[in-house]
Amino acid sequence: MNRSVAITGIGVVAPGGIGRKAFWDLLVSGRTATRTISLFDPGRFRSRVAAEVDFDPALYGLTPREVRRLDRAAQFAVVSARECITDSGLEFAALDPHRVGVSVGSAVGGTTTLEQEYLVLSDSGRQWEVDGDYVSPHLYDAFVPSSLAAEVAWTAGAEGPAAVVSTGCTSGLDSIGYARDLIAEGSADVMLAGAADTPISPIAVACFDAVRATSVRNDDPAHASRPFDRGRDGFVIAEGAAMFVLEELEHARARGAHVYGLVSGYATRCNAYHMTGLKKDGREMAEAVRHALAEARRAPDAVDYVNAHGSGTKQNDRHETMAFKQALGDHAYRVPVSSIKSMVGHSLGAIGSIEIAACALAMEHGAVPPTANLHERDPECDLDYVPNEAREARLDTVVSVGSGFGGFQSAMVLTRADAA
Amino acid sequence: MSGVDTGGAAAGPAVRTGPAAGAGGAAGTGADTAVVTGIGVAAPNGLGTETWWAATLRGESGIRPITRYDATKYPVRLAGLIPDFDAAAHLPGRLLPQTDRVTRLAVAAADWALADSGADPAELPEYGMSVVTSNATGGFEFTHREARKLWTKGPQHVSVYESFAWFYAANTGQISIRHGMRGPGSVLVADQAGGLDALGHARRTLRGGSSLVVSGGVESAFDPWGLVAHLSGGGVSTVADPTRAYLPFDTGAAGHVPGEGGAVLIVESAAAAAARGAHQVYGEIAGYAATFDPAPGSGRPPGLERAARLALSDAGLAAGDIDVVFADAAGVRERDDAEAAAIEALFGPYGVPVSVPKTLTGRLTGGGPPLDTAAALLSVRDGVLPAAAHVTRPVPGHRLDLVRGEPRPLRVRAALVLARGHGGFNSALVVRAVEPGRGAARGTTRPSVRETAREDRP
Amino acid sequence: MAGFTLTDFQQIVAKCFEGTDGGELDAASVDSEFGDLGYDSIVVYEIAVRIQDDYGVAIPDEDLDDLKTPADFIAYIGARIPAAS
Repeated sequence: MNRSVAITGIGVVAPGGIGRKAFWDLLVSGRTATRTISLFDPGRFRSRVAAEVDFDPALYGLTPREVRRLDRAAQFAVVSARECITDSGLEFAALDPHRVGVSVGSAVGGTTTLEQEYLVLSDSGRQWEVDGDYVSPHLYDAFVPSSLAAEVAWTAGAEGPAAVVSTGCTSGLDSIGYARDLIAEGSADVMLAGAADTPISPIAVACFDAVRATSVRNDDPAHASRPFDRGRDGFVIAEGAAMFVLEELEHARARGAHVYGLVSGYATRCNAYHMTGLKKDGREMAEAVRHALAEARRAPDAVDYVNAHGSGTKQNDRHETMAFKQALGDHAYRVPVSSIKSMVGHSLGAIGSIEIAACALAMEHGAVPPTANLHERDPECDLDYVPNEAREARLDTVVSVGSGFGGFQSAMVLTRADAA
Repeated sequence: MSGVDTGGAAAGPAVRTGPAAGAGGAAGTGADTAVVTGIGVAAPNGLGTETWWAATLRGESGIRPITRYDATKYPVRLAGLIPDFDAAAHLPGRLLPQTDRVTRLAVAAADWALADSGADPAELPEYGMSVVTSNATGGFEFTHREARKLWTKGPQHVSVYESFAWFYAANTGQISIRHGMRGPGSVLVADQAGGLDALGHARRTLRGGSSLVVSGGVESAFDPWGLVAHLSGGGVSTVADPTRAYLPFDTGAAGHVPGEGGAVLIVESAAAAAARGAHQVYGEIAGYAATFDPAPGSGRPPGLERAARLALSDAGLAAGDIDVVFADAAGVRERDDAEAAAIEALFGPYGVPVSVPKTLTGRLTGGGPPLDTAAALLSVRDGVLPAAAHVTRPVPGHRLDLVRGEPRPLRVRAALVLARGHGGFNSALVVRAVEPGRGAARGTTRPSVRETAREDRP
Repeated sequence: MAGFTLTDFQQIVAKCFEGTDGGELDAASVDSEFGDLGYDSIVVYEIAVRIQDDYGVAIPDEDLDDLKTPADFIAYIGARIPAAS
């Protein structure tokens, strides 16, 4: 059994744009959602910039009980899941719940809640032997990130296979890849798939400070995320979520569903090189792209758009430029390549799904989102990165890639359902 | 997994890439058959597969008082702890500062599993080797230490290694780096059930073209903050006597004891194992499935029995083909009742021996089900079922043939492993004997209700 | 005695590579670049964290980029250690 997998619903909670319409408006406008951190006082930190979501849970339909129970990442997951369910037009109550599964990506899960609880129970770090008497009953849900999948499953009434995929910064691609596998092999007909991460917390900001991976353009936060630009100095940490209704293609067609596109190819590789470092040649990412294209039965020159990882670290942007040249040959110089992290930052495990949302919406609207803040290209980054302004284009085949700590390199190919 | 939902006479197994695995339980030696060729164990009652297995058969428990710090202030002072793991003896010095205890245990267990399998990663294709693990609690103690530095000394004092020692993907990443494994890597989390999801995905990864997958799961979060986090999940036993704290399916059940450790398995396609002349095959991962429980209050039935039926159907086996069930064993009456009902529904009253070696280790979150899978494979190898320790008064209404007292000699050709995770995750996995030279044992349907142990008859 | 010596640096390195005594660094290798010594950038960053821990000297990114050898570190820290020591 090898069934095709369609995207029939999209939900997004992104910095600068909650909901898929606001998100797309942000992307095509080229505006940036990066700013000085407001979620905590970043005064003592090296990097004080982030792309935050202005999220009022009540405004997005969460009840006070849900707000109390759910970690911020879970709130994002549930809100984006509800949006994609509505968008799909699928009557979930009429489905066989056994045939509906869930796959949620997250790199750091319930970090926000864990850190808040830790501060309370440890007396702001003073007690190594933390106080066990006043533990929140919801702590375990933050401790073990699979609670994200549980919450989404309850939202959708899903009783099929459910799991969290946690492969660091490629989680958001890999969770969709996992869901794609389950539908393709026949374990489910419908999957709620996507990712959520809310890592803008002191511990996460501090560890990226230590590894000097984040931008220190603290006096100019709106222009801090500068993928492929000569002046880039690291990524900008972010938060967000995107969830999709993935549906077996015939299942979607039988009900006349709107199909944004097909998940036609997916591959992941490990560089087996270094937990944070990247080899210059981009070899494993190139291998993932080649394999994903082969699965999608697309030649490299059929690719109409590449959504780059484009984190804005010196190392990454060169690494993946090399990878695209290896995987696509001369076509790498012709195909538009852009990084939406220039606008919405890098939300670790969530961004892969947010970028797939951008790709699906790009196909839908016939436009390539730009790379903001790109004014002077790094000479070693010599592709067409769509600087600063969106571009109209018919997109039949789109590639999105991700790269993360641990050495994970992933690639996904989306194709239009009506393209040959 | 097959598309059908109801078990019984099943459609063929899930095969995306070809028909080689065949249907109806006729497991073979082809590229689509996933066999286990190496086992590495880091368990509270034994480091190393044979040490742990011997301790398990002797009934030696790894549930012990927490002594690394003063645990008397906590309502729980017991855990399944590994007392004698010397990381420096097993890992290069450079790995130590950048890894949490959980990753040290995982990397060591992976080393042992590879050594056991005889596979040499240097001789295998780099993109054909993959790492797929489960981990639900990350590098918790490492993060606790760094968080403490952050809040008491300032952000400049946080280690660079926090950026990756912390996260759930650390084990997969470090193992892939250590052995040059560049194929599709993954990390699955579904609390306890995720340990089986990883093994199921390892088989899927073989079907996608890998030839060897390092899989399984290892956990460790027993610093004070980790212990408190474990407690918050509920269901943790506060009984102070290590022999009475964790009594699943017993009338004295008072919750579970959490533990650290797990198992790493080398899963290969039968064809690849044969091609490299693997010196041993423990058995085949013949079936796997996962389900999720209905939302609380829906009134719909829980999903464990369905997961088991789907896994059997995936394996092309009937309930009567299963020689032993390794139970999830929550140790909480209501959840034990639910599992016992699922087992009875599938196998009939006292219909199959139920083995619970985790009574000797506690529940290891994502590490537990891979350890149960290791036990299942060794029960196939040695023809013996480990006993549930300390369980003396089985709940009569359960009508389970619990293996207890002494290990029970039994020829095992197929075993079912069950796992449930906090929130409603259910996973089931079937392992099956592979007869030398003939591929895996062919499923033969036997009556589903069999002669049962005398002591458990009502 | 200088405020920050090779021995001090070896002790810092030993904390970054548990199980070694930093002894692979010696007078002959203090002028070797970290890459040639087998230290990747993340180890160098960790050395910077440990120096902040033990000596209270923070090293900004732009300075760290210029510290390419153990000798560079020793000179840099030596010049910035609070006079008291």
